Amino acid sequence: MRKHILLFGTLGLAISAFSLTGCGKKGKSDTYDKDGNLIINLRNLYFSDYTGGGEYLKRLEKKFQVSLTFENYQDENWQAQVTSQIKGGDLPDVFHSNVTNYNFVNTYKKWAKENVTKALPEDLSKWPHLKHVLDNTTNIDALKVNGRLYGIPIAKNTSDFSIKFSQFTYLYRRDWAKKWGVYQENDEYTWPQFEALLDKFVQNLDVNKNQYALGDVEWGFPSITNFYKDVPHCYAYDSVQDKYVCNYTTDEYISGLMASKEFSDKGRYYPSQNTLNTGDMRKEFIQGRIGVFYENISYANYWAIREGIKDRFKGNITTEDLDDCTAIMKVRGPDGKYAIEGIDNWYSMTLFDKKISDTKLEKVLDILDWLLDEEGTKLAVYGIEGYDYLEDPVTHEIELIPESWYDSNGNPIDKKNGANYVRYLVTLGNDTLSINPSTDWHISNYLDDWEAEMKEAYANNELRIFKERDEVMWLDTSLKSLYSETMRDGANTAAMQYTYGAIDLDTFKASFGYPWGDVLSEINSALGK
Amino acid sequence: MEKVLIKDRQSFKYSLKKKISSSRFLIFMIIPAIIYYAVFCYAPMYGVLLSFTYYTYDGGITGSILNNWVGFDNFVFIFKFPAFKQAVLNTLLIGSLKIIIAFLGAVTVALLINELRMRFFKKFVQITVTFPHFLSWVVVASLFLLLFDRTGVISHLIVAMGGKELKVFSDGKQFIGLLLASDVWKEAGWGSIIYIATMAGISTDLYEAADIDGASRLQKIWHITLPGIKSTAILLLIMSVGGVLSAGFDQIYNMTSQLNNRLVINSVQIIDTLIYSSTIASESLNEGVTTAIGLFKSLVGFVLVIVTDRIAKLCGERGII
Amino acid sequence: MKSNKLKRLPLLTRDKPGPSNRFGGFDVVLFIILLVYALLIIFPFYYLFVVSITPLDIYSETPFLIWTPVISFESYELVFTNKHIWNGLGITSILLFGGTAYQLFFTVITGYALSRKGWFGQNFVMNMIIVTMFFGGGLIPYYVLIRTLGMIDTIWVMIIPGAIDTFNMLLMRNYFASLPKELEESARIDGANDIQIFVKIFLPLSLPMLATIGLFFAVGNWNSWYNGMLFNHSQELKTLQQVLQQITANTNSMIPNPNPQKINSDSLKTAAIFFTIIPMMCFYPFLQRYFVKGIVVGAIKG
Repeated sequence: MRKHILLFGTLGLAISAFSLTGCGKKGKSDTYDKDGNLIINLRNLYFSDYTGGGEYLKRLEKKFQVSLTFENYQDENWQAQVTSQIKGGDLPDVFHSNVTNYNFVNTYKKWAKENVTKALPEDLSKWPHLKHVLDNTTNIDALKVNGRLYGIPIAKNTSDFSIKFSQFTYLYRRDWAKKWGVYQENDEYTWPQFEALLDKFVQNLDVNKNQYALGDVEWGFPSITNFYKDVPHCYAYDSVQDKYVCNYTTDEYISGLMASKEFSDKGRYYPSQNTLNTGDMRKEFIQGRIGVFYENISYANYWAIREGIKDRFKGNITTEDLDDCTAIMKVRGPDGKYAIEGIDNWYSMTLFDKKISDTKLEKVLDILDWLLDEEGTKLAVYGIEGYDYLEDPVTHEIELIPESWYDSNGNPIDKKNGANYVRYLVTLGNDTLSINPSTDWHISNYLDDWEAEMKEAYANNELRIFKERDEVMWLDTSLKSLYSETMRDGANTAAMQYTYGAIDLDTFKASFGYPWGDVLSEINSALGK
Repeated sequence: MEKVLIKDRQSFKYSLKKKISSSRFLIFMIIPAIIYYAVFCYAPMYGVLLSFTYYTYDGGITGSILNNWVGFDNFVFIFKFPAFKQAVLNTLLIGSLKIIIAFLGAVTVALLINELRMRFFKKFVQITVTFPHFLSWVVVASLFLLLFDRTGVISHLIVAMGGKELKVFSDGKQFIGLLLASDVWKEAGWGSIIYIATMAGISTDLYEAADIDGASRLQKIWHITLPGIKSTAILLLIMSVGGVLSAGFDQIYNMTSQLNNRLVINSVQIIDTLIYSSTIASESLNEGVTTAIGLFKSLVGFVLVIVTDRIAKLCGERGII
Repeated sequence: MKSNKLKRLPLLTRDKPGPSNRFGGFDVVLFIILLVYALLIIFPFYYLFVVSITPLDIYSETPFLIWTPVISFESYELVFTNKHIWNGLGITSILLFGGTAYQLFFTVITGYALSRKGWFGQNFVMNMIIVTMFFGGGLIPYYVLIRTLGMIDTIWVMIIPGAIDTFNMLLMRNYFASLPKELEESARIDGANDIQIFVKIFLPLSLPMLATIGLFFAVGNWNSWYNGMLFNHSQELKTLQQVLQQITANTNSMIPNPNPQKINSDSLKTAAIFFTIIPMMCFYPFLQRYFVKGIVVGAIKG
């Protein structure tokens, strides 16, 4: 073997070089562009139609002497992109990650502990507006690792934190209901009326044209179970035994599932829910092939759906007709109550690369804080004073300058306001809806009315909000973090298979063997049950 | 004894010098290859040590090895991990079905083309059927998804002919069928080439003798052509057994990534997609665990190669190692 | 992984085994079967093409689309003016020309060095190389290696790790080894040195084999997406195949469609697929014999 010294030497060198450089990289130094501006790169899901540049962003950049570069994550495999960037060690300075209770422990917390992401400064009083938003975020303590927050949860709404339920509900074709004589006053449907409506739709719709009565958004299937269950996903609380049990095998869930199957057997359900790509069901609804559609009707989504339908009719549709195509349906379940999934007012976070300097982090916080205050909000919402709007020095009333908002045909000008996009790092912009001149008030009021009505129903004990208990939702145990996601996916798969008749109820129940038992007993012992 | 050795060593040194100087150019040429294989093939073998650690970002490879050594925990874990067991079963099922069907497809196509006597048409068929081999799975996957989509033409065709509506995207078994069908579509033509070449090498004397005996064409295929390709077929078949654990990442990744396909994904989750989706694309399994899975796959593959090689030699065929 | 690692086959001796029966019913059946098979291969492409030129209203109303009464090339217009696609084509072109030359160079010199007998350590190197065909570290260590080398999010990651394709390198080696030894000896007598022997004698003689291997590399580079998918995250570095992946996953965000009434996303998808396979379709019929020759020769000499 002696004669192979050269070869072994090379091998050894390669291996040792590999092992030495395998050590973690130290911080990266701040870089400045040629004008001395600090370069910060941002990557976010919401930058998809914005790549940077523009007068508004320049103002912001000039004010803070920074140079911002934008990149967006593709919708389809957003979290995979984030994770593989982290694996590859080439993170943008500021990035956007999905943080749910399913990946909280093994993703968010792991990154925080293993020095991938950077904690916010302990004392946030330098940034009062940001602090205000964070302090008012629901369940913020759940996100703290060793008492520190490792990112900014992106708020859906900063003005009203009392909303604890989501906007996941049914839209329906009121015009069809009216045409076929199953319309109920004020879009209120009891369970039998709901079933009757669907059956009427089934009768009148043409399967050969791919028309179906009921369709759920891809992640929402089977929405019928919502009216039966107490918990959206895995861990239900059994008050009799005082411990956590598998939600999918509770009597409530099973009866919901059987109802779903009945709906499917009676031809009410869209038949191949499982072949859909993200956004497909929305397209089906826009194309007029779905009578009732379960969807997250946030302002942006609802607006997009209506725009889609407008497009389909090439603009030749009156607002009343459009309302009739996209009415919100208020369905009471078999127990006589509305049912809506509960939710926190955020579901994703803006995170910071551990390697960035404190200066850079503070700079970003400065920018975000300023964008949340009055002056910054004006830049983000209205634009530049004297060009986009005029402000009355005494009354502070805002007057828009029409030329910069509408073209000669009176159509609104599509502004790519960079300041607004940067603001998305903290809030989704719903907090500025009320002052945004481009807000469609018709939609906004309609959604507000629905929300007010649901709140009232909640006060009258007519709304059931189903949500996992916080103590188990954010519980940090090893088996739970390892299996929760696969358990949920497996359960959804089984539910789908059962609904479409691919498996029977016994097989469905049998699919909740290992690791459910281990995970649940771990949870119960961790919580002292 | 001692002296002889020293003498040997001296002569060895001499001949070594001579050998090196006479083949300087060749050694110079091989250096890039040595570096290449050292870096890209052998250095990752050091990384295999990760399978005995809990990998952390701040530790990196060396830090994890030094500080987070967990012994055989990861291996103990994966053998209890249901998703891994499922992935191994899926891999074996899909991998072996693919081997069998690819083999049958290639031999059938080869026989058909070999028997064909219209020269121009033969050329046309050969060019056509070998073409899909050169397309990427990105293309072939989107093509098949489009064809078998609910609104796609195949589904309509099947319903129009009175068949039951396909549930390709909701039924795992049917989806595996789609995997096999697209594999055959893409590779059968190309796989047939080697058999056609072998058939061309069968002595014509045999066929002439059979003609004199009045054998029919089917008889000739059965008694001459098939035995003629037997050893090639056995060799190819045995060799593909070593790759049974790579049941086609490219294909499955492309076929499933374009769909929100939870129903089917469980039935086509193979070892490679499990490693990718749980460590590269998400944080669900630690690097240590997936390295252990990868090591398991490599070792089993290696053993399969050795075993099939021995079997081949026992059967009187030439081995591959 | 190509599964065609055949070592030895009986030599190709004759043109054809000529069965002497006359053309009969058997041939007709054969003809029909193979015709159907060829049509099965062709039909998907035809269908793709039809979808790509069908306007939305006809597409959504015709369940079994065989031909479209109204032809619209708007989806092609959008695809041919899409910046992502051209960017992908640019990256793929770099791989196609730069990568292929690079791979060919290293594969050929390695094959040549291994084909010449008797240099120090040859068997050892050979064995070490063969082992890598059967055993590897797995994806995760490889990933960490690439990260350590700093190749993440660079174009190099799609080129450098492909320097030597072991299977093709062995093909090349066997081809060189099969060339008569007398060539080298007589050249040496004429006073040629090692470099001259390699460049002036062996390379010209192995041009057909070089062409074949080069073509295989070129096809591989044209179809490249795996390394890019694993290691690169920025849009500027996506290859054509990756862009195609993105388009099939979400057509609307990749190809903004100003006219959603007339164009459906399926026809955009199919037009994009066509964009990526047209070069192959144009060249393949003429190049097919090289590919076939490569695999047959490789199998026999192997």
